[in-house]
Formats: sequence, C-alpha cells, structure tokens
Amino acid sequence: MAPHRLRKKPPSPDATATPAPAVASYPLLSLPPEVVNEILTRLSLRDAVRTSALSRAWRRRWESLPSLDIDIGYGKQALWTVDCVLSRCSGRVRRFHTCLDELSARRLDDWLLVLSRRGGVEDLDLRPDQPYKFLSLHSTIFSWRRLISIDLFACHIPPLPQDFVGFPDLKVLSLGKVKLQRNGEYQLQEIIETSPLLEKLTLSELYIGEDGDDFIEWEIKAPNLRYITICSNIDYGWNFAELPCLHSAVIDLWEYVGHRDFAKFLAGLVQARKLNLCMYYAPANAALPKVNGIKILETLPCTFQNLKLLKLFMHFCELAPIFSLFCFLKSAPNLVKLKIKILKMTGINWLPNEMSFMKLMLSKARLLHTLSISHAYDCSVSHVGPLHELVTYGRASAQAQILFQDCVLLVIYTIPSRKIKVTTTRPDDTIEQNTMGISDLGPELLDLILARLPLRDAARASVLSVAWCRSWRHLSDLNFTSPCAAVCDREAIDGVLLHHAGPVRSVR
Amino acid sequence: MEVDKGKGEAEETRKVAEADRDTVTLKSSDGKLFEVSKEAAARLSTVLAGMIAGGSIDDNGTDLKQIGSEALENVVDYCNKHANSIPSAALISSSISFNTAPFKEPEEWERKFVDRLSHDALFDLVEAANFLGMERLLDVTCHKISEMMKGKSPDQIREVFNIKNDYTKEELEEIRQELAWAFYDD
Repeated sequence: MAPHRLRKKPPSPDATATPAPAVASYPLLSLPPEVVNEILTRLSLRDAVRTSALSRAWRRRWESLPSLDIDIGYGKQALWTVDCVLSRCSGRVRRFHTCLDELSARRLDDWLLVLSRRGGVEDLDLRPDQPYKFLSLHSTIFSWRRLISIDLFACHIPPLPQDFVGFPDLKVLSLGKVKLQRNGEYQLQEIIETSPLLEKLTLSELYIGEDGDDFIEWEIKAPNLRYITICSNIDYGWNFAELPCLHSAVIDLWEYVGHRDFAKFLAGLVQARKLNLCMYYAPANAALPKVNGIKILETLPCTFQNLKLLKLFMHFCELAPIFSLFCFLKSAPNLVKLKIKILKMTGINWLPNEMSFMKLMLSKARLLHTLSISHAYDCSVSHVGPLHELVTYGRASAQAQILFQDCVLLVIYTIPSRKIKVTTTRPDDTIEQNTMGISDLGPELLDLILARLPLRDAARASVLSVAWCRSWRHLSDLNFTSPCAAVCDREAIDGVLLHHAGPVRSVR
Repeated sequence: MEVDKGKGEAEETRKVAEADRDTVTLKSSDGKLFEVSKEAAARLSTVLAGMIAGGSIDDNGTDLKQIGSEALENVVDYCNKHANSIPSAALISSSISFNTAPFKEPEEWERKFVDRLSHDALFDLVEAANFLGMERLLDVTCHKISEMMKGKSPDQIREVFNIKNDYTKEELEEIRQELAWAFYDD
C-alpha cells in the first residue's frame, strides 16, 4: 500500500497540558476517504445508509462506497431497499442476501443483470419470502466468476449457458428445494466439477424435471469437498467419485438408492471421518442375498479407515438394517477400536430384540459411558420392569450410566453404585433456573432435554449459549402441534426443515 | 520503547552495528525515537517492509513526519504485542471456515488494545496504520470505530463523534422520506 497523504491535525491549544477528551475533537470525515470507506463497509447496510442523516457532509457519503453488502431478511421491504441502493451506489456488491416477496421477485431479473454489469457478487443467497412462491433465476448468475458461496432456496434454476466456464472460487454450494430442468443431473455434475475449490455441498429436496426415459447416473467429483449433505426422497442417481478430502457426510435418502448397488454407493464416502446415515429403509440390491424378501447388505467393498463417528438412524425391528449395521462395523476398524461410549436409543418399545441389543452393549462395551433411552411416543409398556432389568444387568464398563426419559421424567440411573438417582425436571424450570449447570450436561443430555420442549422453545434455546446453539437442529422428533401452532403454518415448517440438520423420526 | 538520541561516544559503534541489528528506529513528527523489531515491522507494515528492503531506513531514526509520538508509540506497542501473541484457535481453524465475511474479528488482546484509547488517540492510530500500510491494525481500529456507530441513532452518533447537525428540519424529513426503509422504525 502506498503511503497516503495525512490530514493536518487541527492545532490543539496545549496538547500536553490537557488530557485527551472523551469526545473526538476532530471530525470523522477528516480521516482519509479510504479509511472512512473501511469503517462504513463494516456497518450493516442500514447503519451505513442512516449516516446520511448525520449532517450535510454525510448526506451522500455512503453512496460512494466502493463495495457493500446487501442483506435483507424475511418480511423486509426488499423492493425499495434494493432499488434505492443499486440506483444510488454504483459500488460493487460483495454480498447479495435477499429474501424476496412477490413484488421484489418481479424485479429480480433486473437486479441480477445490474449486478452482472458490476462483475457479479461473491456471496449469493436468494429465497422467496413467506408464503413462498418459487423464484425464477436469470442465467446471468452463471457468469459470476467471483462467487464464493451460493445458497438458493425454492428457485427455478435455468439451464447452463453454452459459455459456462465454472466457478473458480466457489467454496459453498447449497441448494434447497430448487427445481432443475430435464437432465439437471448433468448440470449439477458440471457445476460441481467446474468448481475445484468446493468445500461444502448441500443438496436438499431437489426436484429435477422428469424426461420419462433413462435413469441418469452421475458423479459428484470434488477434490476439495469436506462436507456433503444429501437429503432427498427421490433417487436422482447420485454417485460419489474422488472425494479425497471428505470429512463428514449426512445422507438421508428416503428411497434408498432403490435399484442400485448400495454398497458401491456408500463406498464413495470411504474417506469420511463422520457419517450420518439415515437407514430407515432397507437398502435393496438385486445382487444381495434376501431374507424374507428383503435384500441384505453383507459386505462393503472398502474399509472406512478414517471413520470415527457414525450416526445411524434405523429401525431395530427389521433384519436388513441390523445386518447393515454389523456390515458397517466390520468395515470401520477405527470405529470399533474407539468402542462405544455413548449409545442413544430413541423410540424404544422394550421389544425383546431391543432389550437384547442393549444388554449386549452393556455387557461388551467396556468404555460405555452413557446409554440413553427414550420411549416411542406411543409406547404403552411401562419402563419400570425393563429398566430394572437393564440396571441390574452385568456391565463391562464401571462408569456406565443409563439415562431414561419418558414424557415427564428425566431419570438417571447410575449403575456402579446401584443407587438410583431420580431427578424430575420440568424442562422450562431447567432452562430458566439452572442455566449455569445445564450446559455442562453434554450434547447427549441437551438433546434429550430439548426433545421434550415444544419445537419453538427448542429452537429459541439456541440463543442461550454456544453449547445450545445447534442442538435443536439434530432433534429427531419435530412436534409442530405444540403452543407454537399459531405460527407454524406450512412455511414455518419449511423454515424449520431447512435449518434442521438431522433426520426426522416423527413429525406431528 | 523510547531511546535517547545521540549519546556521543556510542554514536559511532551504533552506526556500524546498525546494518545487522534486528530492530529499526523510527522517529515521530515531534522527534521522539522508537525501536521496533525489524521482523515485526516488515511483517505488519507494507510501507516499512518496502523501506527496509529498499535500504531507506535511517540508522539515526527513520523520519515519519506524519505520525505523532503518541500514535507511533501505539504502533510500536502493537507490533511488540503482536509478535508475542499466540494466534487463537479460532484463527488457526479459520482455514476451514466458510465465512465469506471479508473482515476478521479482532482478537481479545487487540480489542483491549484499542478499547483503552481515547477517541483522538484512536483516530491518530487509524491514520498511522493507514499511512504505514498496516492491514491488520487498520482492520482492528476500523472495527472499533464501526462498533461505535453500529445500531446507533443519528443523534447518538453525532454526540459520540462530535458532529454538528447542520440540516434544517425540512431537509432531515426529506432524507427520512427518501430512505424510509432505513429509518422506518425510528
């Protein structure tokens, strides 16, 4: 940076005799213009624009900012704001995060074209306001080579233009409920392949236009990809290829790659350290042996050497997913070595196979710290008998404790001393009175407690502290019928599902 | 750290040793001398790095006529503290962060460093940082000033920064109308 000419400081009568005043003695605007720009670009758009009311010298100051971030949340007047800002300030727009109501949506094409003339943006986040109607996106965004992050929700994605060359800087691509046209699979493949720096990919509930013909198999090839999330109720033929940097994967497919080789599909995630798999539906594969008509996953073609954390969401009442679990455990040597410290079983009905599994874990898992159990919401069997059976069952780990929770009680059974500690807590009390201690409980317990709260309260608990911040997003039960019913219309549910990271076990 | 200028007998030896010294001496507009580690100066200031590389460092104190002694003392203090600070875990792990925000949050010690400054000292420091091409210090000082403006009403900002409201009532109303979306909840 070249030295800049400095403002002459106004003479102070006797600088050494008087202590520095608490209030600035010379004006902010006397700082070099590039410094004023630095300060103003750190303000929100609204705060920056409001400086125009300070004095005449400030009136148009914000309009000459070289770059600005446009960030407009739900229920705000995107139309006036964006029109006003783009017409008054000719600076580069770095970030364009906009939630568009119906009126603004009609201006979207114009805005995107204006942004194109300024070289595109780095960070694009577009979603319709509630109640949402799908946005139509102009294909000009495919020429924005500066893009680092793309987050689109409920948009129609146009086909790629002929001259599309990729996004050389793109690190984050997140598509939620977007619609792609016929053969959109190839379009996704091309975008991902031409974004060599891509680190995080989220594909959630896509719709790809049907052409009624062949099933398209395509590849997600991303040499720097670290995080991948795919949630879909339709198999769009995804395969993973060459993901050498993969750190964690969340895979929640309802129709589990039905007619394809499930083992081969999983093998694409072989580098993962964390794996979050929803296995409600038995993986089917014509080549696999069948038990009672259901195909069984017996072996995986690879070893998950790096896998440290495996989260499986599965039915324990069916043979296929149980076999799949064992198949997985056989293929993840480091996971097995790590042993099981925390075992969380939700939706328990105290069936014999569930009991056997828990007893097996108690008797074999030497590092077991917590076995947490919660009832299926319609469980009619009393927990007293089965719990007593578990508590008195021989266990391999001295510090193992059993945590049981039904709708009213949070009960902690500490096995070693055979003392049964029963704590009754109403969730509300816990949050208000014991904020200090409750964060120390650890994520498993927080989950348990959060699961008892109405969804709205659970989500609101995220402001309590860092430990609480993301907990609700992993809840496996989403209860929309609680006191928040008034605000929980269809769109609110969409909002929740968008932010909710884990598989959903039940929705009421 | 301030050193006395020109102790006669030491003068000659100092000049000889200057070339291999691992510090450089900077001279403020009011003639005070400050020493700072050459490595830190070159790392934190593009202008000083250029001067060191170009050999335009004066053994008797490189003149920085535009920077007063109070600001220069803060600059040198910042360089020394920066050299001693251990990057926080947040900064280390930022290599895998997807945050596209262009500005790094100041670290705790940097916050404290600027919090103790008077307004005038802060303004002097931000200018000095800009002049010396000290990207990180500029970042920290600009952050501090922007914090003083965030979420404030025009009246509050005028008070903090001693800005005279020279608008007529009508003009102010006109601005509020024009930019209603930014003023709607005042």
